[in-house]
Amino acid sequence: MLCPAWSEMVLTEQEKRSRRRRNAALGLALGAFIVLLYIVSIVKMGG
Amino acid sequence: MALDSGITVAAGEASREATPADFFALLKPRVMSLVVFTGAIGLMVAPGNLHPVLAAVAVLCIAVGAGASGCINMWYERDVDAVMRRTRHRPIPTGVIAPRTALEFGVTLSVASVMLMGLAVNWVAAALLALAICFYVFVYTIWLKRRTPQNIVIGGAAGAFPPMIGWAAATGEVSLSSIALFAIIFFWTPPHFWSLALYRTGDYAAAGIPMLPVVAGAAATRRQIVLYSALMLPLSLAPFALGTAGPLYAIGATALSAVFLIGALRVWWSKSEAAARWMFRYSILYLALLFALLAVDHALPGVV
Repeated sequence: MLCPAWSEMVLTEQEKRSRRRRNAALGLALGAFIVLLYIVSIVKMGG
Repeated sequence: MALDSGITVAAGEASREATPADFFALLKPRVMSLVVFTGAIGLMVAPGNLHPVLAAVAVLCIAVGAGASGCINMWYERDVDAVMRRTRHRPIPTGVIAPRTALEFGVTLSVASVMLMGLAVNWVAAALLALAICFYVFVYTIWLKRRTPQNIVIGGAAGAFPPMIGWAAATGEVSLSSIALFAIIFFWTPPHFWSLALYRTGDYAAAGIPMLPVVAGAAATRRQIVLYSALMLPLSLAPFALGTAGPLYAIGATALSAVFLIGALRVWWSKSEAAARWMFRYSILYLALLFALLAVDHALPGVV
């Protein structure tokens, strides 16, 4: 259950845009990290 | 706008939204470049056999780990950074990035770089990377920097770790040769930073940082610069003595270290700001060229 203060929070358009950009950046960083771990695993298995 | 440290920043800067470039600036890219370079050379000259992809991952981990510790340093030093001319335009003092965000960013990158180094390369290199990060944050930044004029002498160890980490990534161990590379950077650090401090004394004094020129005066600092620079002459030849490098390196290192010592002597007797500025700039070039020589000597064995 969300706390009342959280559920009543209204974000401005700029804040929403900032949040989207931040989420996209975090998603990209996590994706890159996973790809890197995948490549490392392939290399280590090959070695 | 007032930050949680009580620093007042320009409203225009504070209202600007942080960009990826601001986060990159938190990683101290100029410091990181020298760290990456020395770390990569340590990896290159070590007698190990690491897959090129894993070697690239090791260098990436060194870069990210070094950047992350720089980021945590900026978080802790935000009050001092706001006072000093050289640092007051950094993302935290200007209010572009919130201190807590910077701390979270730095800690996340630190943990990620150490874990990746351990999983991808080996845990000896990961342990050394963790030690370097902790040393820089806890020993240098939090404990020594604001307490003693020997701050950069002992704290310099943090910046000396990268070639040792690179070496450990390639071989899985710490050897006498990697300790020699560590020692070169360790003893290079004081004359490098004290040359800068000689012409930025006012800044350090205003920020309350007890750098040697602030506490002991310019004359004592100049003497110390000469002493440490004289040490570099035999120390830079250690890789040759230990068989890590050949005669090409020995000749080049002797010439570079001789110029380093002459620069230090010039700082001592001329007492001019220009000489200190020259020494600071040359010290960066000196370390870069010394490690480049190691790489060239390794790539071209038997040239001399």
